[in-house]
Amino acid sequence: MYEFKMPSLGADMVEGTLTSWNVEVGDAIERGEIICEVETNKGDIDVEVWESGVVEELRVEPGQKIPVGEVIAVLDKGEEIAEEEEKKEETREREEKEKEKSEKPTKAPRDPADLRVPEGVVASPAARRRAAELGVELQGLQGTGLQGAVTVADVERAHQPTQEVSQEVAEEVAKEPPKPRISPVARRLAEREGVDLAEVLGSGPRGAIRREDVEKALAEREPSEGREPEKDEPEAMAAMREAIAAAMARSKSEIPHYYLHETVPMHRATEWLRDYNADRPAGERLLMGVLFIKAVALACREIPEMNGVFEDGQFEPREGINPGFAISLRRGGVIPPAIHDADKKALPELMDHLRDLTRRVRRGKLRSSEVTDATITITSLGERGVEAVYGVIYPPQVAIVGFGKVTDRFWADDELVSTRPAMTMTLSADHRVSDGIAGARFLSLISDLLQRPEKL
Amino acid sequence: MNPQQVRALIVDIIADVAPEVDLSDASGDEHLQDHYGLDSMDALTILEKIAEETDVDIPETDYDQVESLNGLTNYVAQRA
Repeated sequence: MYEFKMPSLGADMVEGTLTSWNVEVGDAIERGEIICEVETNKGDIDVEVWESGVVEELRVEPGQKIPVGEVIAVLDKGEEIAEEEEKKEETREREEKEKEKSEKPTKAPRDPADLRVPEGVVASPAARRRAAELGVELQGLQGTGLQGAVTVADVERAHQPTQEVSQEVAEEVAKEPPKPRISPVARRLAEREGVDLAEVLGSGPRGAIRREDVEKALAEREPSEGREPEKDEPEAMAAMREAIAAAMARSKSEIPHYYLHETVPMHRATEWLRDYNADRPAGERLLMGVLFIKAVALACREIPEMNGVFEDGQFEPREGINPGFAISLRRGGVIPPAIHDADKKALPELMDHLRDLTRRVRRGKLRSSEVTDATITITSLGERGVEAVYGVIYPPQVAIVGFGKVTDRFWADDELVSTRPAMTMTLSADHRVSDGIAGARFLSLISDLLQRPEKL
Repeated sequence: MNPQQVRALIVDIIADVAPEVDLSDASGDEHLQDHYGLDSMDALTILEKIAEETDVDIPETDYDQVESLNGLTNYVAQRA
């Protein structure tokens, strides 16, 4: 038996809404297949399952909001495998418990869902969820749990005065995403009657909205009040903004960035690309961004301090080189989905991949592994006209490479001054993991690679 | 194809690639990338779809002629 849990799709995610199941009970599914679609603040994500088996149970209904880590489906993996897995699971749980015990209160957050926990604050996962639901700041809360850990009760106590002070504030808090859980019955009733669930205060466990709460809201509603206008788009934008704000604020408060820049001669890459594209139809042409991705990926092989994640208070280099390429959304926001094993892909393959990713980012159809597996970020803001971009590291990664605009610049070669295309390339890297000298080597490697584009 | 048909086709293609772009009030001279925030991937995808629909494949050397909706329409209409 394998219990499939709501995955954490990014450092800031505490819960997700199940939009639809792609499978039914009794279906056999393969490792890597998409099991369901989940709505997050990064749009709708196709969630992959990393075990094979037969679907035995689907525990939640579409429309339900589910906390990260909650079991949403059960797979039957066949007897033998199941026993083996159970043992593994037990060992893992035991290890985790031991780890938790030995953890010091000041240790860096271990779980990606710990994003909202400021440095030095210890809080249980349930307390973090409750804090997120109620909009309570964990910083400065007096914890009554073990080692001063903040408990659900502490969070709720902290929330109490807000309610007393002003009903308005309480309503604001209730409106803020992520929203509390909603029972399927309550959701259906609200949909039928056009009740905005964001306006309903839940009375169930952890603020869950129950049928009675919706009925109460219905009874209180002004007779003239109709359905709320569609507000999906602004809500999605607000959620995206919140996600970026959380990740970037965490980055800037936790990661000691250092910054380097280098001017890269681009005449070879530009000429090579022009020749390559000249006799190819539009569908087979390459973009400069693809050369950047490949060059960064190859340089990561040489400088492993740039490729990995900083978790548990230490750096974990990653073997797979999966650069996240920042793709902007026209309605606002940016998502850097991972391009898996970019160092091993040929340029045309990378181009196809990037084309597909761009389309899916903008239609909100990313896969879960694409939002979680990036090991370094690349931003190519130069194509929007800026000369240089100094990125903010996307936690838990440890480096971001920025590519500026390719422009003609004066160039001195021996005694000869000429103009040639050049570009400012930057690196923001985590000083806990690497020093400027490694960063300098990294940039110099990328620059060298871009001088022989035919070998990329 | 006459220019009206070409223009309608291109507007459809842009709407498909970049649904957020509103061309209803466009004079047609706006720079597609700078004015509407299309990036190089969008631009390439639009050219790819135009080639599929009209058999007019616009080489990179002619990109400067197709930077606006009007430019693109004229270019394709003359060749389709």
